[in-house]
Amino acid sequence: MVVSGESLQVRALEQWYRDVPLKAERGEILDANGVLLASSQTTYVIYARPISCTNKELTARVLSEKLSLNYEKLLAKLNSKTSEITVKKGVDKSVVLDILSLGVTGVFVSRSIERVYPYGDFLTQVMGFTNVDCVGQTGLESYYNSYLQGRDGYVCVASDLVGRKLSDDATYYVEGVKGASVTLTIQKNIQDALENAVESCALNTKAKSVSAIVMDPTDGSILAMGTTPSFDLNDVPRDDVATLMKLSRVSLVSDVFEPGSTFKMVTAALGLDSGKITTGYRSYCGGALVVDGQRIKCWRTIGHGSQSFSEGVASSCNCLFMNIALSVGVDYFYEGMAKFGVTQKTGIDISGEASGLTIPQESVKNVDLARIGFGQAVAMTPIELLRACSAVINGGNLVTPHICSHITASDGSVIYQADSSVTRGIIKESTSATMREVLETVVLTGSGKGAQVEGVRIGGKTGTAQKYENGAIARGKYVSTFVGFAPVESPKYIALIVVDEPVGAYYGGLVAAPYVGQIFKSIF
Amino acid sequence: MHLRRNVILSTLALSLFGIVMIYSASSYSAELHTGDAFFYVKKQALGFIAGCVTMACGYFVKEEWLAKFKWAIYGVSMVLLLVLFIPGVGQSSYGATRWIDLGFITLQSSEIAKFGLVIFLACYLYEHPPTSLKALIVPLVTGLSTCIAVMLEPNMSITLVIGASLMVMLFIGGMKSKHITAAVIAVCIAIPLLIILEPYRVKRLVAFVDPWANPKGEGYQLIQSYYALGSGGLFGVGLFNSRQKYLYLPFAESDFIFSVIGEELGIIGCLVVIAVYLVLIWSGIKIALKAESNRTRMLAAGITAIIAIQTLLNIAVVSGAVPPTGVPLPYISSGGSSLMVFMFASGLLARLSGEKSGVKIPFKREFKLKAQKI
Repeated sequence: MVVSGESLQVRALEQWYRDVPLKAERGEILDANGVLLASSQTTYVIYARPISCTNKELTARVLSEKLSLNYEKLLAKLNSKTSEITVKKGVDKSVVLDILSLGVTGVFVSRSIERVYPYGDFLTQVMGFTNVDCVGQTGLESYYNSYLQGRDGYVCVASDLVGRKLSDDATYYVEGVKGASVTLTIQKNIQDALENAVESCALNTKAKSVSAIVMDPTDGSILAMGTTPSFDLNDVPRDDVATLMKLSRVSLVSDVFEPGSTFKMVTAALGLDSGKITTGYRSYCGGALVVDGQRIKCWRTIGHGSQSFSEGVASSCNCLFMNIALSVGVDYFYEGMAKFGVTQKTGIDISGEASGLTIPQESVKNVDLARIGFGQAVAMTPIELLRACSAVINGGNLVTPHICSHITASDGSVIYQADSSVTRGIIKESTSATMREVLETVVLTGSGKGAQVEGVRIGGKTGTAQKYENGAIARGKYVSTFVGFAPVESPKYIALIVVDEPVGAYYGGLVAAPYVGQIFKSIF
Repeated sequence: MHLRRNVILSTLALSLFGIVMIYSASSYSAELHTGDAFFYVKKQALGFIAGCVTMACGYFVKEEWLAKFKWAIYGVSMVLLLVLFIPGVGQSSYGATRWIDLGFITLQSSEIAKFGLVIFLACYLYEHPPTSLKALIVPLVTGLSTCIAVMLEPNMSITLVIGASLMVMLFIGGMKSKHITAAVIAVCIAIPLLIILEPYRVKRLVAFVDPWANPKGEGYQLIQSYYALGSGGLFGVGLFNSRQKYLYLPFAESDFIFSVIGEELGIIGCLVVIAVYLVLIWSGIKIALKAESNRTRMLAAGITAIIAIQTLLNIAVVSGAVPPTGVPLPYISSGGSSLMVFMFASGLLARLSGEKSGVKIPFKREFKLKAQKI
């Protein structure tokens, strides 16, 4: 048998040293301007060993006073036969030192690293949280975990067979490497505005949930993103797993919905770009349109009468968009939808992205195409909708939405840079310019009036879709949306708000648009 | 030829070196378990002082006395072995009953019995050369009964040492080659049988083939020995610097002391130690070769065979050349009674060299001086 001395030495070294891990500090998460959104903090866990506690009354009194615990319960635990009690976790160093100076016995302390979110309930679902061992479980904490976690260090202690430390031998410290810092495209002030807006929207509309995104339409940087209801990241409600899973879901990315009228932006843009429709196009709305023998109603059942293209967009007349879709035809329309990425994942850096769906091109009938034209019979995620709408108003470029801007290693080097490249020429530049003008009229005179902000040219489109439950229309359940962008001359912000099941009023213009206006008001 | 001097000096060198290595190998565990880092060192030092006395005794013993009392010597050896089977007398550890606790010292019966048998056989075979089958009966019966008694302790490794020494003596005594061939075949059959009979031996054999198959169980000891030798490399980690002695290596001060030597002094140190053994063994062989009588020859050869075989077996076990079996390294391993017996054997071997010289006189003078004082 051939044995190599070197490999034996390595194995022997492994048994001679006990290595105690030194938890590496988890990287920070910062907003675009360097505001700290998540960091790590060293806290202490206080334990007690009843067997080595000689003055149980005093120890119980000191611990209960300093840690605001129940004296009787603590004393009972100290009198029990338990070998070790975890008295309290997350204790500050000053409190620990205070306790240890007051003559307690059998009390000892261990260090632990805790994730801290300075703003608590802020960017909650997107940020995500870690487990007690500081491993990311949801959101960005999970998506970028490998960057954030760093490399643990070790203390190697020379010891005998049973782990007794050898007094005359060295102890080696292997330094851990701090995790990399993730800088987001999120801007704290816009996020603040967004969180306030969704909060007040939820309050006023009594909606089941309200979500919103603000994005830079030119490069796909997500500037703010949030959903209510949510929770405080510093106090994750871990007891009820099912509820926690629901609350931490990034529905803007993971859930599809029927976009309704907001989708008309895509239809209108395709119509204009095809050349089949011009701004001089006029259509007649008698309250319904018969396609393939089926009567499809406009939302305004008494009809809009004869309307110009611009007026039709402003009034969100279904008949206009049915006509546009039918004019361009199935092939052109489906090709256009594919270019807009309607049913294609955006590639956003959030786990669990879903992809939209619609009727397959080979089985689509004119009646279906007409419905798709005004945003029915098509389902997409809000982020897909926002990306498509961005392409409509940004000159025809398809962006890749992203939240992480770059990642900086602990030594200062940039180890990841988000790709902000775009796919150009989805529609013509001129079509996009026209769309911006038309969509401004929606906010100036049409259904989107609620989004007006003085001194800023805002364009947008409202949407109200009925919800389906088990394949049938759910009566009285709506999803109200609004997509807005500003400034119209050269859009820097595009915002989408999704109000799920508002109670009472449900038109997007009433329950959604004002809150986008609220966000824009605080930006400009 | 300074055969007598070689025997005495190498014996003293190995024994004293043993005390140093025992200190190195055992100080940590001794401190931990007994509170005295010198626990084994003190015992071994006492053994060494007593050993000097036994060595002197061996030296002054006359061959004729041995011949005269050969049956008594054999009888005492067998009695020591057999009393182990009386419950309460034999001391057991690790599943074997090999020791008699005399209070001040723990005696390992087989240590005495193996040399007892050699002395008996040398004297008996001198009077009854084993040239016929009939003449083989007594040597074989006495030799094999010793072997069986040791085997039943159980102690396979010492049985092997005794058996091999028995063969050596019969060979030198003039046993016919056809009988030798038959005996060798018998042994070749017996050993595998003995291994299969005891499940722990089979396990050890498997562990020997691949110690890493069961690193926490049967393979543990050999792996730890490998770690020690592997860490030692060419020059060793330095005297007293062993890491394996921190309880990792079992029996570091006794059966596996050669591992600690390898770890601390490297292969160079091992070779030096082996060289000293070779001086001793070579001197023993030379003494046998130039012996005037066949009795002297057989005595010298038997003693030398035991030293050589046991040393070889121990080093082979430690370095993984043969399956693990517990056998102490002569003169060096911790064990007072073993050291005393081996030093007695060295004294006898020195005596058998037949060299007459000056050492005898100062000894006598000293005795006279002491006598005068008294």
